[in-house]
Amino acid sequence: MSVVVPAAQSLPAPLTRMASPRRLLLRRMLRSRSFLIGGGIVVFVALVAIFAPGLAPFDPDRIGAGKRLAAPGAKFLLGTDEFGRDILSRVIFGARYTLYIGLVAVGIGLLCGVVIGATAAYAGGWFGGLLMRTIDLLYTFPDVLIALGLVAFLGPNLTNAMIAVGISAIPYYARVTYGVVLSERQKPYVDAAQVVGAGHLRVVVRHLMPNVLPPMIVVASLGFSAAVLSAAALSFLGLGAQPPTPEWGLMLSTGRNYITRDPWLVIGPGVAIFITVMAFNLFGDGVRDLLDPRQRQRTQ
Amino acid sequence: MPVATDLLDIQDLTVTFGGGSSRVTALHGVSFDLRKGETLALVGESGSGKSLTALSIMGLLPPEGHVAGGRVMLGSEDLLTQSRRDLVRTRGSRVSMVFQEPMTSLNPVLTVGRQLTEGLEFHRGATRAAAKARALDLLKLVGLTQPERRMRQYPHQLSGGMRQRVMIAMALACEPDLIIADEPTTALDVSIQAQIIDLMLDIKERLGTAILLITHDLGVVAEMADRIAVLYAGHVIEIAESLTLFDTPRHPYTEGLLAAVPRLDVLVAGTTARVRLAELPGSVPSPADRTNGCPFTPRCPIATARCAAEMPPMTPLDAAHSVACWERAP
Amino acid sequence: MTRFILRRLFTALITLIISSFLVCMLIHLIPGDPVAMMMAQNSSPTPEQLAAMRHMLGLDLPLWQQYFHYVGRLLTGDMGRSIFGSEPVGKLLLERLPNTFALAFAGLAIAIGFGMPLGFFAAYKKGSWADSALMAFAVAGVSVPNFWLGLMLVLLFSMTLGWLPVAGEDWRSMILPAVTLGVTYMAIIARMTRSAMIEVFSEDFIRTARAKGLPESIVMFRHALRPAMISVVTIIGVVFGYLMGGAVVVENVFSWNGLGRLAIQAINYRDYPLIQGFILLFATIIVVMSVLLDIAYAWLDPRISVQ
Repeated sequence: MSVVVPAAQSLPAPLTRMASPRRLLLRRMLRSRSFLIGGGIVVFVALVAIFAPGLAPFDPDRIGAGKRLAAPGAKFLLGTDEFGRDILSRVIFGARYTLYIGLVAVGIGLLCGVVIGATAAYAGGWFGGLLMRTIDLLYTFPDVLIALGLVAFLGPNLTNAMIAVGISAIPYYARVTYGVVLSERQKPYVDAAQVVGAGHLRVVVRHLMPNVLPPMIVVASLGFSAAVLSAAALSFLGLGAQPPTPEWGLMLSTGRNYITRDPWLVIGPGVAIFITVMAFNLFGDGVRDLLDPRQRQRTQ
Repeated sequence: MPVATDLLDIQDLTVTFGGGSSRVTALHGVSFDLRKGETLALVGESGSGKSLTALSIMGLLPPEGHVAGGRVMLGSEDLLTQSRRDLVRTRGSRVSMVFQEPMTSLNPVLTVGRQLTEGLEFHRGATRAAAKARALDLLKLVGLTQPERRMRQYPHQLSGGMRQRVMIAMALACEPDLIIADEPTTALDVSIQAQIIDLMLDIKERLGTAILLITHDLGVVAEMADRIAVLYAGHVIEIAESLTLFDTPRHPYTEGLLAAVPRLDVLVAGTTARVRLAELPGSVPSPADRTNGCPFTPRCPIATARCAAEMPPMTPLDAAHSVACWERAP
Repeated sequence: MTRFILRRLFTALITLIISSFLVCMLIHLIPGDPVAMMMAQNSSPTPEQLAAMRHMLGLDLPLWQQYFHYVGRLLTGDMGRSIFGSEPVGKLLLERLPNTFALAFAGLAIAIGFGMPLGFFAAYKKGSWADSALMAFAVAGVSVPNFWLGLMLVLLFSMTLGWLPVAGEDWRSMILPAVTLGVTYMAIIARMTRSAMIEVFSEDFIRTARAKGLPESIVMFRHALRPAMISVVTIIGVVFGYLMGGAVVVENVFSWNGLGRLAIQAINYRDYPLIQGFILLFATIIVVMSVLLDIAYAWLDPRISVQ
């Protein structure tokens, strides 16, 4: 009816005519700087983590590989720490911990969050409402605080930190899932599937999930960066990874004691966290832009 | 009849969207004129370029749109080549616009009074008190009761019809020569539609403001328009005085439109169904699918080979009636 | 408006009840016997001491009564005693509260004071190099770990340039912690403001304002800014909560003598009543703040305040 925004009607037409949706997506991927840079660094960090033993010049735990607190040089590219361990090797092995922590935490958060959010959206009624009110409430509390509270009582170690960070993110995943499932649920195909006689579980698994999945990729990627930050913060506070683990947050925590003499102790691990978190943020932003071109037009 | 002096003269207006390989032409050399005090209806289906024409006149095309050629003469000035500063001075003051959606076209966080007076303060340099007095008059003029109270209210406190009256009052604020009304009744209930049309007829009569009426509602056209320009896929294909066009349409597209409509007198009585243009078989080709020929060719009952190859020019049949059709005006 | 505020206060009360319940139940997350764990600092407690402690904490009650015991104590202003040092938890927390508030509000001021204008500017210059640069900066801002940023700022401004003190209690020593804390949220607010402005710019009423022939500056400041602010204010509530969380970390970077530092000490000493008190206090502050912001929001938006 309205011709208020003719661009919306007339612009996509030539594009869809010339390219299949798949080629179109590919072209947009190649044009999205966030997606390319973010995705590239994510792959790079993953490769570093996988091939850490081959890449690292030294054993990350080898005490006295060099002089204590040696400045960066030809042999030790990022210098050595207070025990003479090679910082570069520790940063390289740290990628493993970071990705591991991120995967476990996102796994816990996503699994519980999706189950809670989807249940609330699918069940609806007073039960769904109550569930979501509680989730909304928890969402207003900062994730670091929730994680901190949990670790304080569970006991400070890496496993508990991962669990706590995962749990602290449940409200985030649940809210997103709830929103997505609710909007999908109202679409006719869900009713159609039920009319045809598909059971509840079947409707959820076969029909809802494929539509819910793409936005969840965005959420998982952005959640990953948040989990890495929270876990590193816990380790920095002494509530996560314990020595001598080559975990980036912990390395910063011990390195800060030598910051006056040897600032490179806090530069390498910090840059590593920064770059990794930024990569996941960029990747998540990029995927979101790809999934929602309207949003992309608006925000670019 | 109004005095035959041109107020607005649009010549060969061409508007494109996008750039590079995805560039499409949305308006193909649209030309028409509008005399002082006259109401010209621009009719056409969605996507025919009606609203785009209006936005081009106002200089409010969305960022992807570009005016690729033509002139929009208001008096002796070309609005398209006006400086930004002058354009701002023209808008709202000499030409103003009433939009389709009264629900979203008013600012939700400003009072009605503020939205009415700000134009006066800016264009006319009116003091707050003077602007307020004028705003109250305007609210009375558009038939709103309790104008003092309305001034203090926010848009969400008004009904759709009341909001559209406020929109019209805003458009009238600086006594413009021309009001562009883009589907002014489409978003309203049928009973409210009639009230708004009556209001606009009343204003036209009392103030002598020219109106460019954009609509796909032939009932509204029949009630208000002195002349009609029919737009199809970004081309003006027929222009005639209202009665002539309803009685003796020449373009096969116009014929098709009117064939789907009950008799004119029934329409003017304004009783029953408002007939929409889209009830013609087939649909407007998308801008990307267009050829050099007449865009109506695929749906045209009398099309020839020439129609598919070459766009017919607007050809005058008499002083007031022109049509673009190889078969009807060779 | 009054009804809106009352309803908001009611939900705030429910929120506090649920959070106090969760905080009360946290004690059962402790692996093994919580009382034995608490008393572990205290060489070897006798069974009588253990039982007395258990009774004081209400842990000898059935699970469902424990919460009422806990709330009953809270309502009389008793948050329990710190196990380490045996001072009242309430007193310890209140002593540190002003420091944390000072830091959090300074951080919030930086975040809003710079984030909103920057986002506004980016939206105004949408598509320009300045916009791209600002948004790249915003992505960096949300990605940088605040504990590392703090160390880097100390390295640069205190150690290398010698402009600002590393630690202390005066306003000069607050600059670095507040900036460290504010940067992330400044980036978030800048992004939010930018997209809110861009969203508002696509609204019909902005086109109406332009069609009225108003100059861009009036369209911008009178017509677009307030609706955009309304959507940003809703975000500031959540931002404040996360900023308080961030303060816990930043305080420990700068040895800032606030609640966050106290909390980490409490965790290291397994001072569970103190940790519980800390979490509950934080929850209360966040809830109160979000009520205040919702009222500010209602005041900004006539659709809520004018009924």
